Amino acid sequence: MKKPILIIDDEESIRSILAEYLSEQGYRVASVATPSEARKAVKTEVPLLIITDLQLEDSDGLDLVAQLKADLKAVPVILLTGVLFDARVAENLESRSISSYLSKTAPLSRVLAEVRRLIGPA
Amino acid sequence: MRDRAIRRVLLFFVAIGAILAAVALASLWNIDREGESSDWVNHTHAVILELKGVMGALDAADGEAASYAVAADPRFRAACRGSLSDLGEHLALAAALTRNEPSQHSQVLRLQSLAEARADVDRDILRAADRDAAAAIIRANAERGSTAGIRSLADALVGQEIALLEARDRASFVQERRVRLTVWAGAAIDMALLLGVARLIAAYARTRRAAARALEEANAVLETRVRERTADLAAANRRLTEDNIERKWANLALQHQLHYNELIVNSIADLVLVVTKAMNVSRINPAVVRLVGREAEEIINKPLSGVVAIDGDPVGANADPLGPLSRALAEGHELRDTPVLVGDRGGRPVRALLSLYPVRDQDKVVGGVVILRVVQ
Repeated sequence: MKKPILIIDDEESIRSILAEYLSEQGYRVASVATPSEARKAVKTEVPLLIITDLQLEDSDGLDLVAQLKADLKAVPVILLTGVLFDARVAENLESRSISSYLSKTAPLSRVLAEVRRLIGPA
Repeated sequence: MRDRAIRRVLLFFVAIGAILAAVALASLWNIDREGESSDWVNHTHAVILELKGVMGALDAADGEAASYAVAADPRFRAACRGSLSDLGEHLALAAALTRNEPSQHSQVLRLQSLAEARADVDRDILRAADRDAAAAIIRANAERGSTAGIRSLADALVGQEIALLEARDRASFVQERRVRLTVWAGAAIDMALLLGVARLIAAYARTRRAAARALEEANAVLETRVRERTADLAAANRRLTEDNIERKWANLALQHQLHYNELIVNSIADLVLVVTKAMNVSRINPAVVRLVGREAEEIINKPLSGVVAIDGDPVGANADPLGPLSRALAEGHELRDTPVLVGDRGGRPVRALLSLYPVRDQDKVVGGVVILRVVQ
């Protein structure tokens, strides 16, 4: 049984590359573009890990994480940050609502290492 | 290898078959010969029997004729006639039995002639009118006492036949030994050939087993190599796929970086121009286009002096109107808040403060960033 991961990002290219890479590594990956799709997806299947963008088109990634974590307290979250770093990320990290954050410029191997650290190998 | 072995086995079987056929032919030939020989022996014994019968019948007829001559008893006459009849039969049979043997046949005919002559005397005695006449016939044939000649001839014939029988026995013995030797020799050779075939088949089977084992081992090695190679290829393919995805991700990150850099530069309200060491404009932000009123293509790759002039010099009037800027860039130091004039979209000069920051790449000045802050 493959471990499920949910990716939330409004950029299709980010979603597709991350999904392809993590699928190659043996995880079962679902990807969505918007917070409403994310809420639907977690109702269909509870993921073992959520990877979300900080800056979503119609919402803030941190707000979405707060909403999702209300029901999925045990699910770890990796926040992907762009060039503009938000200081609230560090605050949320300390409050444990976010397990870790990674810059979008970080190599995929770094992303994989973080995924494995949080939910183990595929 | 396989065809050669099969050919050799076949050759062995052909040889075995040929020897068996030869032995069988020799045996059949011997059986036929034995059959013929047996017929010949029976025939020879029959000849001897008839010759002895001739002598027996002749002696009996003689004795009975003499008795009749003395006693005139008709019983002797009847007995003598019977013996003469037997004599005739024996002579006829002896002649018939020897008709295919010219030398014997001629002797038998001679014997027949002599015996018939003797029988005629006995018949004359039987036909005599009385005893005196019979005695007279006996006396008239003085040679009657010479049955010894007939007996001698008959004995000689019998002796010849017995000699032939003995010669045949000897030949038969030699032939029997020869046939026995042939059969045993054939059987021995066949056994040797069968042993050879068995060894050949065993050697062939061993070779086949060894070849099969070698083939299995080669296949196993090949399968292992194929598995290893397939695993290597799969791993290489996986690495290649990962590298490819990683490259796409890196390109995406670079695009992000460029996009945000551009956003950052474009969001600055001051005029930002990037210049080369030769003081040509290589990049501008939208604030330049807004103030100057010219499109980016009209400014980029053109001298900075087309946009800016040191305050006091009219724009474009001097051969090197930006001398202080060029020198500062060449020397690699900053200029801050130098008063300059910038021509706006209406051609009017606008006062601004120019700051120049050299751009270094590995400690080498490759250009500079010019920031113009309008001071009206």
